[in-house]
Amino acid sequence: MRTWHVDDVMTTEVVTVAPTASYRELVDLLVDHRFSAVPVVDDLRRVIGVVSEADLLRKIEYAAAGQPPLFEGRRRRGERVKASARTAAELMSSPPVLALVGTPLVVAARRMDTAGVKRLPVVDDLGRPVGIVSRGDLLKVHQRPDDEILADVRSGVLLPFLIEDAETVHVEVAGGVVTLTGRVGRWSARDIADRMTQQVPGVVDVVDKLEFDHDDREVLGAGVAFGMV
Amino acid sequence: MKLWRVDNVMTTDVVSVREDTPYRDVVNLLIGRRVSAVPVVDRFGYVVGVVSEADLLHKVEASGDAKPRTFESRRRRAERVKAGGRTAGDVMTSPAVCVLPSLAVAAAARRMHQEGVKRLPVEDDLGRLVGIVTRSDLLKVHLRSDAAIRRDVTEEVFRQILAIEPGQVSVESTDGVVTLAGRTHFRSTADQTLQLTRQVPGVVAVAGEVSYDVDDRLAVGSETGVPFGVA
Repeated sequence: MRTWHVDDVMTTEVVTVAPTASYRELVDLLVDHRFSAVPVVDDLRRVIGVVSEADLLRKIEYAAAGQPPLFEGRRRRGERVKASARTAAELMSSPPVLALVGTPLVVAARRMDTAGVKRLPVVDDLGRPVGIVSRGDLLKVHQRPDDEILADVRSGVLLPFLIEDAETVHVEVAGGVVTLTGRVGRWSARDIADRMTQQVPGVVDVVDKLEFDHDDREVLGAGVAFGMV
Repeated sequence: MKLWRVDNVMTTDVVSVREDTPYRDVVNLLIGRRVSAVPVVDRFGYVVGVVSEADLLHKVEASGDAKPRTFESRRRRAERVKAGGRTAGDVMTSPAVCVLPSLAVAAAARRMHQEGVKRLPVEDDLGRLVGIVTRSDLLKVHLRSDAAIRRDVTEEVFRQILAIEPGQVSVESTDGVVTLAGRTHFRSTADQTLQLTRQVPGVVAVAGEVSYDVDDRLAVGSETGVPFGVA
């Protein structure tokens, strides 16, 4: 069972703009292509920033406000500068939040969450764009068919980790929800099966109905993490 | 001057889900419809929450690492709960920030910014879902032709609001950059010409110079810091 990376789900046709692109061109681009952001590249084709809808929308917000307020905090003043910005270079957010090829989905998802962005340009080791991965792209992992997930649970979790117990465990997958029933030797085997199954790409939830013969938690000690995370 | 409102730009063909809609069905809907979020409604059509890609992605972020840490902030706990969610109701953000159809576009943009959201469900005065407005819908307001902008400036700003004589001030518009040139009687009129032109939908910037005969600011009561010239 392999981990999914951004390469598995990204869009490879990348649209980019030069730093000199005008506000109008940017609006046209985002609306026509239904993008929420576009990477800005320098003359060596390296990503130097990203212009998003949010950056462009500042202009509409401030159009109706008219006069700047008398006392203006630093953040609002920075935003008002963006409202009068006219080119990609002035509008873009930089440094850009990017993902290197080969970044696992989990890492990409967390990075988008932390940075509050909807897309990550995917770049090679020279910083040149090779694709774009959006939040929607990351969610594609949850469109995996149930039989693929079931196969992964069997070959990627039960066989390698439960070994002889694997035969006594019954797996069912419906709508991404995995139900495990059967009997295993030790509590720790059940725990591993549960936790590793949670990590199979596309799993929505795990219903663990496994029974065990021997509770080996006393031997291990309470609260000791067992095996891999 | 036409005030652009939410109902001028919103999508009325809006798809929604119920609280018990399964996680994967929500994913399929968002991907299939190429949208980034969907409102959750109850059986009367009232908006009870919104499920966005961000809400669904907590599951991908956690990727099975669903055990609580010793010291867990409220936010992390909420995210962990969402990561284990199985239905729209489990992962939705609620209450939803909604707007009325009559809200001005600029106010809607500010609201999105304040609340940190990228779309707003639109509800009628009873709270029933009637549409949805996204950031890109608001951006479309800016896709106006230079001819339309020039017409708005001469018709609405000059003629109707400021009563400027035809030929007094000239208007050029190129890609939304408006250049004004001319002369008005009062300084306050000249100032307002620039300010109001800036607010015309589609205007990216206002340049040029409008000169005046009489500085009426002292008579009217001058406001300090009134910008004059290039906006």
